[in-house]
Amino acid sequence: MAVAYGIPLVVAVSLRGDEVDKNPVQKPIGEATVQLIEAIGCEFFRVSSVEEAESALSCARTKAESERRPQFVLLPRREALC
Amino acid sequence: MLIRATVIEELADLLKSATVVAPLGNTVRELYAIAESPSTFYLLGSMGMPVPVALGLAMGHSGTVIALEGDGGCLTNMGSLATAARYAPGNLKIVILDNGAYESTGGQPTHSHAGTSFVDVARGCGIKAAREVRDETDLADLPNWLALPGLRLAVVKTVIAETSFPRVPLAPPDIFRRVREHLAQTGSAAAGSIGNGSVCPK
Repeated sequence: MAVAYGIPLVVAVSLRGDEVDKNPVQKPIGEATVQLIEAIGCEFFRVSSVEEAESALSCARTKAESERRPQFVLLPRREALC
Repeated sequence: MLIRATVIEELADLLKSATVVAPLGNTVRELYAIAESPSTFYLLGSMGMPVPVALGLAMGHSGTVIALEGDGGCLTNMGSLATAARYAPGNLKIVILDNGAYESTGGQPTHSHAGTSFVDVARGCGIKAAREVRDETDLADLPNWLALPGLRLAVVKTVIAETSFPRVPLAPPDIFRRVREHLAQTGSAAAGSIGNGSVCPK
């Protein structure tokens, strides 16, 4: 919907199913998250530290507005942060 | 039981004066044909989204925001009623056009047809101002009732429509732009720029 309407939406994605996730049920969606975002023609910002989060969200907001397209910010689990 | 087109005609003045988030399917086509307005956000393919989208707009906008929804759409995203009740913006009005069927896909019965009461659900969620509209007398009173302060929800019982209307000819980005301009003109925080001008790495 947000892609079709050109809505400058920022989506913060709480990542599951990564290498530190012990729940195997989360693995399929975790491994597919980036491909799903790319499949709908969107871009993402990957956060690797707490310090990066604010700038990533800010950049995503700016880019979403300028491109009239949703932007995704991938937030890893605490254990996966630098 | 009422005819949906009659309901839209009765509400037309209110709908044109407010920001409206409209559901998909036959209802959005009827709404466009009867009460077209640049302040209406026609959701052309997002089942169950009118209430959450309207809630977001109502939280960032001081004017009246009306979520039009169908019974099938409401069932798709019934948790949104609880979320609306949780935040309860007083300028949000929810109107569920309940024909007891998934009309756009062939008239398959919904749970509403089997007895689910959206008024009871809404009250259980915390939307105390919830009522059914079953006949012409109820309908005549509906615009004034919706204009009363506070979060309100009306369930309008209608029959399955026998007339089909053309598709909405507007492109989705144009629909969004029109609504955004309407919000900006009426002083909405939600319509302001969301960028902070920072330069981002490629």
